[in-house]
Amino acid sequence: MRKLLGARRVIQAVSAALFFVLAAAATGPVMDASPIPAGLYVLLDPAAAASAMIAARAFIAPALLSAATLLSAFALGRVFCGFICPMGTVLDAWRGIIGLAGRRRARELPDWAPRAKYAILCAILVLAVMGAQAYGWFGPISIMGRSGAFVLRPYVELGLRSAGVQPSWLAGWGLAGGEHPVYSWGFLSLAVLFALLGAEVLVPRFWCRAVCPLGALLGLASKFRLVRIGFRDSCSSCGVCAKVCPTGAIDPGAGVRDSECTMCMLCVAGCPSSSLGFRVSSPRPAADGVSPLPGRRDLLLSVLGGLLAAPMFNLRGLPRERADRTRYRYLLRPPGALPERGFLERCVRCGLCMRACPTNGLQPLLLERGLEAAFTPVLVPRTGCCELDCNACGTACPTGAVREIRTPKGALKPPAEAGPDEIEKANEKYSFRIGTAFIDRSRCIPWADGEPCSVCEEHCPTHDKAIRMHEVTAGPGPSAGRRIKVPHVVKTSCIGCGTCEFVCPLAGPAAIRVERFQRNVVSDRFAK
Amino acid sequence: MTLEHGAGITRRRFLSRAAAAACAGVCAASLDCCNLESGSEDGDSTELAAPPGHLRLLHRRPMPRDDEDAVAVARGAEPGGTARAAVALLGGMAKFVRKGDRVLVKPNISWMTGRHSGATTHPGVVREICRMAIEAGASEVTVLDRTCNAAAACYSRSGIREAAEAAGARAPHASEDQSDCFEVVLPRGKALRSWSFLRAALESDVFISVPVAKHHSLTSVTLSLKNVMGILGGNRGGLHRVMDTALSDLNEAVFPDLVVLDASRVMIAHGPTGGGAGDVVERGIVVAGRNPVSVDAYAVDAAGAGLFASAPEPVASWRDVGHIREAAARGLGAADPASLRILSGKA
Repeated sequence: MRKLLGARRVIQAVSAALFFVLAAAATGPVMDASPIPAGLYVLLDPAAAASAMIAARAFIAPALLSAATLLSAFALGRVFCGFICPMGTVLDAWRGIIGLAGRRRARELPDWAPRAKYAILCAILVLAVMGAQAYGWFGPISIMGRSGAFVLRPYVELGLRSAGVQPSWLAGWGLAGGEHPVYSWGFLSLAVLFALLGAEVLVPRFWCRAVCPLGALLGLASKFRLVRIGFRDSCSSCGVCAKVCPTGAIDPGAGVRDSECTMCMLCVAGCPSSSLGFRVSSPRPAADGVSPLPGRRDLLLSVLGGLLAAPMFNLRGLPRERADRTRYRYLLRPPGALPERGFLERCVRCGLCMRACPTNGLQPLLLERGLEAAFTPVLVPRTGCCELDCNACGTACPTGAVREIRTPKGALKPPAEAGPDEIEKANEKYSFRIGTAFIDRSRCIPWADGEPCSVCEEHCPTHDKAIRMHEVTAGPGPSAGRRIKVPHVVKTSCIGCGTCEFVCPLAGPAAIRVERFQRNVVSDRFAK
Repeated sequence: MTLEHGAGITRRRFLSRAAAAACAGVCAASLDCCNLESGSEDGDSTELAAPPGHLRLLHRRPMPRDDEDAVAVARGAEPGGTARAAVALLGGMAKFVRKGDRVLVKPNISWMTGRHSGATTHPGVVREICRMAIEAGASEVTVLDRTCNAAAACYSRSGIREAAEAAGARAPHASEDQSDCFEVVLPRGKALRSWSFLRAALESDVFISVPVAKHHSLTSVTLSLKNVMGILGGNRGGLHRVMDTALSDLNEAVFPDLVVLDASRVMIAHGPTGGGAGDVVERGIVVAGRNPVSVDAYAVDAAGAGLFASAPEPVASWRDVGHIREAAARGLGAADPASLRILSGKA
């Protein structure tokens, strides 16, 4: 039995390592399409799949992979929670580190606590039906994904940098690039991690037992599981199993709560009389009479809760044009992002796009654009611009909220041979405009001071230069009357990549800023 | 010392809690506060230290500068071989690199538009220069440029990382972090009192500048004088107000030992990024020399009847290029083609 425990720990460690390595490799070699499925774990999450598909009213084919997880729960119970889930593994490891593993009895949770996770799942699904995506707040893979990007990655970079490690193959994957990545709200992800780890000190696997909506979904499936843990007649009712169980899944005298059991096998290994073992039983819920499943009243309350919360997000079908006009002025979504509504509905806030962005320009929102946009990516060009040939975010996105777009990946023919049409066809960023740059003439150096500067024009990566210099006579001031070249944005050529805003030499905000795509300028194809 | 249960905390618990709190604080600080360190905005308050010894480029031995006026021009279909021929015309790499030297090779790797775009130095040229430096006995060859686009993509798509590593050189990314830069005093500077340079660059003995010839929207052309921008730290964009003067200031401080100008293909419009149809023309030329002013002036005036003579905005003479004119006027080098000794050859 000890061997089984060891095997579980090895699988957990490998799975968690794989989760973080996949995320770390999200950029892809030199920003070209990553051959690695960075979002594998998101696709394995059936609750995320359900929430995204219901909210977006769309069929997301890759998310069918999550059926495997659901099937595993029907067969073996919450093995995903016990073996695969990176959140569970981190919590288990943490418990091991602080020395509580197996030693302290799982503190009893109040009766309502194990049922709370079902209410959370139910509320999320109700919100999804209303067209609001709330899974990012509670999805374990989403939370761990963001922790990996916003908390772990800066440490990894800091470590590599301090150690002077910068092998070229690692740099090619967007790591060890020399820059210390910074994420707005990164500390909040850290706070969430601390809260989770703190809860773990008080109650083992508190998250998995009381909060996790994925655990709830798998718990429901577990009710019908094929293989379960059961008592033999030799049981002396000594209660050791209940003491070692980290999820409080054993009700001494009554049986195993299948919906709470993560198949960690501590009870099987710990039983002094070897009275616990695996048992194959017909998939009948009757075999499990003790699982704390939600009652009718719980479900009613959570449905009501979801309905009440929905307007705080946004309601499908309500026009939002006016709100968009003002609130979203600088809300630059990644290239390839679906129109705002569809984007918010599909995005499960896993953080992979922000991890993948090699310039660190994609930053998480918190509440700046309302509850509904929390943890979604926004391009902050002052931090990092959108590199013309890069499509790391689109490649990394597991749900298609940011779809893959065509980019030349640096392999285009010599420009002498490639005509403008060919250049634009090879790079979808020319048709997918993130936004449009606007110059603040009261701050721009040549416009305001009559002094030369053309950094924005120099760096503009579009093939026909969306920023062009034009000679004017300088206005009042020390340079009055001097002929000076000033920048203009050619709005039909600007793709909103933010390179100009990034390189503007002014301290603080740039004198050229990208605003959300202006629908009256070129085409309203991607206006929202 | 025992405390009554529940009356207080033990020393051990106190220490562990204090440690945990400290960890939490450090974690939070390192995650979020790093964007608060903004560096000093005004150069005036910067305290300028004397350069430490390991920044060898600032203490280098006087090199024999006998061939100051020599400019070599080589032609050939293959840029690498052409570069080798150009350096050979000057007397070979051994004239510039001695045994045990740490060599900085500074190509243009600024852009991620790929090796065909002509926005970055041809990888073949970089490969040959690195090889020649190693053949001459260099103990270490470092290929370095502070890129404008994301470094990993620039280094790879330009083909320069591969070329450098194939030749046995290192190609680390530049870090413009303040701690990785050194503020160099520019005593003769007219626009700048000091500017920060990449430490990684200053740690070398020999500085080989390997620019690519391009049109430039602000400075009209970008050749070897402007190539020094790639080993700068700080807010380079701010230099644009005073670019012509600043380039002389900077080149005075960190002067290249050898210049190899890649004009195998020349970007004649939409520089420095290009990317448009017809922006780049094949020329098959490499110009090499000791002095960046001479090389630049010759490239504009005479190399292939003037590299930019047929550009949409033609530049016929070095006198039309502000920063070359200023560098020549300040005595950084001879610019008048009549005063140069031209050595031509074929690969």
